[in-house]
Amino acid sequence: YHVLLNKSINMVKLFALSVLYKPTSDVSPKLLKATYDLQQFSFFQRSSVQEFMAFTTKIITERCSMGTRQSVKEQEYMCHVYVRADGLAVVAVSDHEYQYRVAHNMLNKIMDEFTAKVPPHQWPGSDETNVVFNELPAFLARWQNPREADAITRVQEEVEDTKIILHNTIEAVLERGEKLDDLVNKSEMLSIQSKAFYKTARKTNACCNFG
Amino acid sequence: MWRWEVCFFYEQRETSDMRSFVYEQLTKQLDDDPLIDELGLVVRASELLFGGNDSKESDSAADDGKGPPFICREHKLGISSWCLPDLYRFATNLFLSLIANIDFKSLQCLHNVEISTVKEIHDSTRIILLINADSYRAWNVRKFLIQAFRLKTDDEIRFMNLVFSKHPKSGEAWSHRRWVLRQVKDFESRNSKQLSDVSSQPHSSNVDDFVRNDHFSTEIRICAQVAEIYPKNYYAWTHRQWLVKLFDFEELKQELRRVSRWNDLHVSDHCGFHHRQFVLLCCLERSKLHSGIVLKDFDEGNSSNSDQFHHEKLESSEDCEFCEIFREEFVYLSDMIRRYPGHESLWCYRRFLWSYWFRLQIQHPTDSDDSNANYSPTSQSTDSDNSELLLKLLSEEIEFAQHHIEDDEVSNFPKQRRFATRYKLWILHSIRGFCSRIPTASQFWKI
Repeated sequence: YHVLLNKSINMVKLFALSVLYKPTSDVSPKLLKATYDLQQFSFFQRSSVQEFMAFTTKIITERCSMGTRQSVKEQEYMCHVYVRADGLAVVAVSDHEYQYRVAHNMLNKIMDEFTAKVPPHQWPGSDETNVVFNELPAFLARWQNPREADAITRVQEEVEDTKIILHNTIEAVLERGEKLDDLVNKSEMLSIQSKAFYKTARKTNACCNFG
Repeated sequence: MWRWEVCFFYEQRETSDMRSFVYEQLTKQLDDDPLIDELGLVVRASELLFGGNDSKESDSAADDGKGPPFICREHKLGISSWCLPDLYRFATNLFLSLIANIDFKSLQCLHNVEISTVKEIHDSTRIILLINADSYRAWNVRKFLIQAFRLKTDDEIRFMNLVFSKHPKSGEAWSHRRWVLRQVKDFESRNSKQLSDVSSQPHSSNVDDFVRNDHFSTEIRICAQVAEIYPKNYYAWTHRQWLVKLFDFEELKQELRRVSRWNDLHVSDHCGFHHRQFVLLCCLERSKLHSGIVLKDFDEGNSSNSDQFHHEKLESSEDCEFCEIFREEFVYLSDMIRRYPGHESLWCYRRFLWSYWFRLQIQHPTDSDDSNANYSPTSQSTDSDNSELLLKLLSEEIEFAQHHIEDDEVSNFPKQRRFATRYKLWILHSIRGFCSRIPTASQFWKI
């Protein structure tokens, strides 16, 4: 028998889910919990891809006003973010086929679940290391296929379309004069491998495609 | 659990020594670990070894900050980009010098060659192809190795899986794969069986049996994975279709179910729906309905009415099943259109589906309300009965399109409306010839 390829056919459209806390607009958001599903990416790219997703999540949350929802397209990916008025933020990274209304429904559900499990008074003192919330991977798995998610909830009706702000590129959410390239270079979250990777991808205009 | 595999440290060497050294080490790595199933290019292997941002540490550990030429972790091989040109040149030169004295005219040409030389040919072609999967010369020499029994087909298939992880769109590699599969015993017998016996005995409809038929299920799995790595991969889908042609009716149904999973998650991918179309057409071929379908346009109103409305009794259970499959396709597609508004691929697929369904109904009308698929019209049905049925189908379809033209609550509504409108126009245009013969059809032009 020949050896089969390791990964099973697990086609992924949702890549990352993160919960953050941003008490006021000018404070940098603090990551409380994150989960990733990166099997679709080749093995050696995964750490870079994860770093980039974390980096993008942070930037988008920083620039999203309190109490608003956004879906930002960046190359083949979309970031969906909801920053609630009380400072809790949930971000999902998906591919661009994933319907943004379904994504925002999911964000609502995660938000409710998180608030129930981790009460608000704990948020200021928490960070990645001490938060107890293990439901994110289950959300990621369950919402991969919107068809199955539909069984859980009536998808189309919940979040009003007009409430979601859509952006075609991440540059649209940056401040005037800010460039993504500069942010990438300055970032401490990204390793040298990832930065080199970003430069190559930018040159060939193909995100996360190497060689 | 993570297993720390070979960690190779680069030492300062003379250039020519270095090249052969890297080549030897890489060959040894590939020999030692037959389970390597993925290949990647890395920029800074040192970082992946030592992790994270310890750039200072990794710089001091490696010369020139280049780091090791390759790393291997969990059976995944990562080659550093800096060593590729020299490695490739070395392997190519070695390969050419090895085959210079061999005359590749006959299949026996390798029998007299020493085993060590054959191994070197194998190793050098392996490195060449991992870097450049389009080197048809290397693939062709490997064909000779296989025919001389110096290389097993299973090993070659596994090697190709590895190549595909980095070169999913190499035409030469895919073509080689088909050649290798034809050398495998059960592929051959299947192929010849298919050719000799059109209405063949059905394969066991037991799902487990099919799954156990390793080669087919592996091949389909590889096609799906490779198409995932690089979307709209013409080669992967064509290869899958090459396999599907060998399936029988039961297996075709399974394939349809399998590709549904892909379609669900890749809604805007035309390739996925085109493949669906292909599978359905294969199902049609397998059933006897094929002979009855008139494929030319109704616009060419050159045949007499009675020819076109000739009824045929639905004979085999496969025919009825096929109609059932087609009906389910409509349900599935309508659901997808509702769920994912604004995707052109769905509307394109609907054109195919509807045009075949329409023609099918003309030849073999079945009452759509009748859940019992064994309904067979008597030869006494009149033309007007038939046209009533067809008008009903037509109006239902136009209603469907109209609903989506007007449903402005959905997201992506502008696109959805555009596609639905075009679809409606397309239907009216395509059955124009047919409708002109039926007075009551003129109502549609008032919309």
